[in-house]
Amino acid sequence: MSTVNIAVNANTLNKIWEDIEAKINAMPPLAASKTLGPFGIDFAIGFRVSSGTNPITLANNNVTINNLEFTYTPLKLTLSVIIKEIDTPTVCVWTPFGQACLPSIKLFPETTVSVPIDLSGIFAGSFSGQFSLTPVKQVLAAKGALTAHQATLTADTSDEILNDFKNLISTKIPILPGVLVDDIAKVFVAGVKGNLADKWLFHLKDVDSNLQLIDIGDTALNIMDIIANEILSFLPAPARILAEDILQPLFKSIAAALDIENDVLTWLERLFQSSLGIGNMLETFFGNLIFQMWPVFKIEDPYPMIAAGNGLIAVLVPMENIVVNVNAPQEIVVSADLF
Amino acid sequence: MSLLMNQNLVKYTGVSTANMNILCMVVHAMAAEGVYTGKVYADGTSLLGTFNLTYDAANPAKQVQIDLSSFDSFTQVNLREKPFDMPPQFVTGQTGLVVFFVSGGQRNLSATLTDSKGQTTFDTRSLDNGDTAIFRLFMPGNYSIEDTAGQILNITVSAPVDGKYPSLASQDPVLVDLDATGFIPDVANVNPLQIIAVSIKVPATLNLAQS
Repeated sequence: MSTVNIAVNANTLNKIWEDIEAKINAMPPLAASKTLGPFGIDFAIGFRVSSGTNPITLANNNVTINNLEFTYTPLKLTLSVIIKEIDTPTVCVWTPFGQACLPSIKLFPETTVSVPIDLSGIFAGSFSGQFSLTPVKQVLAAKGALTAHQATLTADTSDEILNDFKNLISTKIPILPGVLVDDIAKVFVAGVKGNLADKWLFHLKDVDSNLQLIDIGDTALNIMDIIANEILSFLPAPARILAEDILQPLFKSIAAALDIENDVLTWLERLFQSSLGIGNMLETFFGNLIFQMWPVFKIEDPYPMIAAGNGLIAVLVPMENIVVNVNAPQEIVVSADLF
Repeated sequence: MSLLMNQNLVKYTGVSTANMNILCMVVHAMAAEGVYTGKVYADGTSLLGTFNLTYDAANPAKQVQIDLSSFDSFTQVNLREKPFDMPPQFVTGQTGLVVFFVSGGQRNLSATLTDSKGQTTFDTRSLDNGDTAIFRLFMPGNYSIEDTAGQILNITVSAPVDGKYPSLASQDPVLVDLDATGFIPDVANVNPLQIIAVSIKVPATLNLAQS
């Protein structure tokens, strides 16, 4: 029995990270709908990652991601409000033959108003985390009865990995619509799909991570002004003044349902964490999901000890007892017994 | 999408009691009990529909409201109530008050009442002693109401003060009389949608226009 050691250093990981950064930036925005009291809210959140130089370091037997910075763009909330029909109050007048009560006039018909609140580019995120490196054996059903040599030479044309990713995303973040799940999964499939050979995939597994929201732009926004202006924007001036007065109770209930306050960063953090659950979704996405769809590196099993060439087939040796050691600060060493 | 308002309140800045739109209503008291045939016209000539009106003084209903635009097929899709399949039946009692109004639509409307003998007993195009004309204006500005004799009531619909209007619910109607000497008073200052009620003592048609 022999042992093989495969070393991957931090520089290599950082080069690999550039690939994942490109994948994240290629993702469509995360979008979903939720209900807040009587109002509906749709949100779309996209990311642009700028991880700086060598964000990955090795320490404490773990892989550390340091201060991954990303901008939320787009960051759009769309509030749906049903405004009931508003009529003039009933008025009665005295005539020579008694009091006549007059019909009211329909001032505003029932309207479903969609109010876009665009906060794109105003907020950024900061993500840091420590991860262990965990090997997971991948055996594709599409391999079927192929031999190890045949599987090495046969491309995976199935949707097995795509379906696995779709299932993973929709399980972890169930509020995402199906089309979006599909689009996100496809971004990551290309980095994993290869031949039909069995493989050990080395994933980063979240040990401890932190996602923070930071404001980087003008947050002196009055969200209720944005909402009120949008609702009233098509009205001529006298109608707008009347409507503002009539709709004060509605505006107050919107502010209460959204828990709006003057500090937009605090409000958004609260909205993310509690009302909409976006914070949990982002933590799940950055701390968990990405790395389950992006193996840091892959090793075929049986291991191609000698590559094919000169008319000879490859020499493939089965592996067992995979052990991962992080030898900080330089490298990760994967050891395996070969039979 | 923004809130939309009833465009007719903005579109119309004039009206006549002879050809009514959303800005004007007419209140008439039935003189005699009986069953009447009502007819609704557009622009004074096109017959849009008919209805039956019964006045029974013993009936507890103090008034009936008749929406003339409900007879206009161009506007029926936007109405609160469904259009009529048969000539509708209206009933009024007590002092026999009937409120003719227009809730929407693109055309100006009028109505007549004919008794069982075929006599026209009321025509919104020609009001008389005892009738009340109601005006409700929205857009700020200066207006005038002129009667058949050329007498004028000047109206100012106010602009907001400090960006505010008084609450709609707190505004009492402005009352005006029209007799042989003219309008009393002959000037009225109102807020948007505040009622102007003209109690008519002489035969009249009232025409409102923006000054």
